[in-house]
Amino acid sequence: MNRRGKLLKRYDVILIIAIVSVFFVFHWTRPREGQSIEVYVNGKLSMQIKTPGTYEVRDGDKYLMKVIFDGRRVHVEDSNCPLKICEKTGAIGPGGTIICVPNKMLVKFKTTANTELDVMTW
Amino acid sequence: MVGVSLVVVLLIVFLTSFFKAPPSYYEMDGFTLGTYCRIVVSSKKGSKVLAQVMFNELERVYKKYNPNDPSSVVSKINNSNDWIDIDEETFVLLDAAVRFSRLTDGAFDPALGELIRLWGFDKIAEKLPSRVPSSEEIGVALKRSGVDKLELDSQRRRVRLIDGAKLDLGGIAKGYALDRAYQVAKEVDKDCTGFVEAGGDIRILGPKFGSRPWVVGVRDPRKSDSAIAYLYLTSGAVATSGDYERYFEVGGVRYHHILDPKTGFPARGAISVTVVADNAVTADALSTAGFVMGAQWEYVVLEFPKFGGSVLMVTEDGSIRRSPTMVVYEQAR
Repeated sequence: MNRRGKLLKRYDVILIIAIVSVFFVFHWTRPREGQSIEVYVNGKLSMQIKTPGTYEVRDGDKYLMKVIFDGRRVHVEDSNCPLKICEKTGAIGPGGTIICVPNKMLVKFKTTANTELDVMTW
Repeated sequence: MVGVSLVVVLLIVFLTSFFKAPPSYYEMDGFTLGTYCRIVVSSKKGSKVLAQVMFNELERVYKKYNPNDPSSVVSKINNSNDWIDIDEETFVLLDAAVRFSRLTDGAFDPALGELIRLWGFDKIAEKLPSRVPSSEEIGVALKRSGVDKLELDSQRRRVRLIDGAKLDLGGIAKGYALDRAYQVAKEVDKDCTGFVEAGGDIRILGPKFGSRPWVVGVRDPRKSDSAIAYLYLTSGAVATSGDYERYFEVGGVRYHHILDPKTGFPARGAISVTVVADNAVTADALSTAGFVMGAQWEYVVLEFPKFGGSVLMVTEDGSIRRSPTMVVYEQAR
């Protein structure tokens, strides 16, 4: 077969593969944030939790509750609010949220994982 | 060579579009309407400003209709034995509440303020109730409750409560606030997309990224971290009423905040009712009514679509019942 008749030559194929590789390497190796737990009080970020442990949440000097992260899931204990909805919510995983309305406190389990869920109705 | 260049250019264009950053959504969290609110919006006219405009509207509606705020319209009406002149917005909202009450045979009732106060659910954010009222107390409160004690005068645009009845618009005001937030957003930018959520009730502004549905999980009423179903919505609203947030227990019995206007006790039969509708007022009112009518689940799932709401109900035995029309929203598009 006449090589001039070919649309793509060997170096063209190598060039295309190189371009595709660059795109994929860029896409898959860019830094990712991973998982973290963010605690907001009165709309302000109060703390960011990345390692397992028990953390006290305070609004200034006022004690609000304990947030416990076991490395996989997070839950609230010993809340000072009367409703205790934050405690009743139980442990949440990535993408979940714990809300305490009286204390205007929010625990968000942030994740960069591609979760399909956008919002919960409850 | 022209062919090779063309292929390379097309390849770059394809890969660039494949990996391009998606349109950005601005997200705002806050507390209003006595609950947690979340606004997720994208607008070419400024997403952050639009989110703030929407939040301000939620706040406005909350302050106007909060029965615990002495300066609210509801407090003004509740504290009077005589006719009270009201603005057009309040008249329309009360008229809608009365219509939903009639539509649902009184299961939705905007005049249960006395019963709610007796149970202590009016101040639940400050103190969790711990006492079950006696039958006599409930009998007295029932005589001072009910939509039949709410009189609306459309000619003179005024309202009157009789026999000591009190308004509590908790079953509809949140939906109204969400619809208002939707309206103000669309007035600013009719092409904006996203959603606004208040306490688990959601009003969709427009499809995700302009074409895709928002995925709404329906919370498992007995396992907060799980969903029992997923809804795929590009418009409209969804609301859920459940027995798992605002309740107390005495002797192993759960007493929740959704009261049956006929008995005066917490409604039995359902533990969670989710309604999808064209607007949040309908979804909110029908989810409350559907919960109250939980013991008649067949009626709720079959008849409520005629009122504009598709129902997904979890009954006390854990069974999931759904309107035939709900299937439309449960299919990923």
